[in-house]
Amino acid sequence: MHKTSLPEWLLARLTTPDRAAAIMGDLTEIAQTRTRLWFWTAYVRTLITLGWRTPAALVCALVSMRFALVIIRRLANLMPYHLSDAGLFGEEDVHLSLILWNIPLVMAQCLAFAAPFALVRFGRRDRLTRLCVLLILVTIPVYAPVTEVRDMSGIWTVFAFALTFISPLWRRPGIVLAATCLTAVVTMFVSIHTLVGILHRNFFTLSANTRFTCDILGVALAVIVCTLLHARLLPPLRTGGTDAEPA
Amino acid sequence: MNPNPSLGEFEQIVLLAVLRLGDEAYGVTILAEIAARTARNPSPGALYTTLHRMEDKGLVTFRDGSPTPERGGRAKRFVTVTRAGRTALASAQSAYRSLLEGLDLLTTPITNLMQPRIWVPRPSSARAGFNRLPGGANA
Repeated sequence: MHKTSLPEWLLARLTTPDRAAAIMGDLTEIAQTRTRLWFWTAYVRTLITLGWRTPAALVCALVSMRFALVIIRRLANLMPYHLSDAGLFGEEDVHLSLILWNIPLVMAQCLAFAAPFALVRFGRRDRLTRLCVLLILVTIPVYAPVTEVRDMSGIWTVFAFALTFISPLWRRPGIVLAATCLTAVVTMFVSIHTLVGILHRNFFTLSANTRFTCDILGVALAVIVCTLLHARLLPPLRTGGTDAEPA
Repeated sequence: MNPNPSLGEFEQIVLLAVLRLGDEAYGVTILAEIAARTARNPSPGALYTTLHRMEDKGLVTFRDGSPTPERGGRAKRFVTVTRAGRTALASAQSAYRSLLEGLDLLTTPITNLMQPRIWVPRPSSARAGFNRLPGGANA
C-alpha cells in the first residue's frame, strides 16, 4: 500500500480516493519520460478540470441570489395590493393567505441560489437540477400582481413539495434540496442574529454588505451540505445492461 | 433512465481507444493510443473527466491491476467498455455512417481531408448572376 501524498489527498477531495490514486499513478508513470514541470502542469490542469465546477457554481449561486434579491425588492415595491388583502380565502382567513404566501416566497429565494448551483455543479440532466427548475415554475407566481395567483402559488408549492416526498424518484432530490435550503436559512438567520447581538444594532440598521456577508456564509455552508448529500444520496442513474464485457 | 445515452465526440474517441487496447486500456495507454491515432494530444484531466462521466453513465467499468514501482506503488485502473457502452458507441457510429452515405468523403485520401481549407473568392461573373432579372430582362 503506497503512502498518500498531499497532491493525491487534494485530488481525492475532488474525486474518489481510488480514482485519485489511479490519476497520480498515471501522471507519475508518464512523468518518467517527461520533465518535472510537465508533471506539475498536468497535475494542476487535472485539478482544475476536476474541480472547477464547485467554485464556479458557488459564484453563480451568489450572483443569482444577489440579482434575485434586487428583483424581489423591485417587485415588492410594484405590487398593487397589500399583503392583508383578501385573496382566495376571503376576509376571515387572511392569516392562512399570509402563511401560504411565505412558503413559496422562502422557496423562491432559496431556489434563487440552489437552482443555478445545481445547474452548474451537477448539470441540467441531474435530478436535483430538474426538481429545482420544476419548483421555480411553481413558486415564481408568488410575485404575480394578482392576489389569487399569489395564493394559488402557495397551494401549488405545498402540493408540489408533498408530491416530491411521496414520489420515490423525487424523494432523494427533495431531501437534498430541503437540507440545502434549511442550512442556508438557518445559517443566515443565526449569523444575522449573532451580528445583531454583537453590534448591538437593529436588523434593519445593519448595512447591506453585512447582510450580504451573512448570505454568503449561508450559501457557502448550504452548497457544502448539498455537495456532500448529493454524493451520498443521488448516485448517477446508470444505463441498462452494464455488465462488463471483454473488449 | 435513458436506455441509449448520446455520446460526445471525445467520448466516442475514448471508447474506441479502449476497445482497440483491449485488456491493456488504462490512463497512460489510452492517452498514447489517442495521440497516435488521431494526432490529438488530450490533457490527462480531460481524459479522466470523460472516463469518470462514462463510468457514472455505466458505459465503462474499472478494475484494479497490481501496484507497480514506476507508478509510486499505485495500482493501474484498467478500463473495460460495458455492453451499454458498446451499444451507445454502435448507435453513434451508425448515425455517422448514415449521414456519410452518398458522400464520397471516405474515398478521398484522409490526408487531403485534413488539409486546411483556403477561401477562394468566386469569379465576378458568377456573382453578377444574382443581380440578373429572370428572362434576361437586364441583359
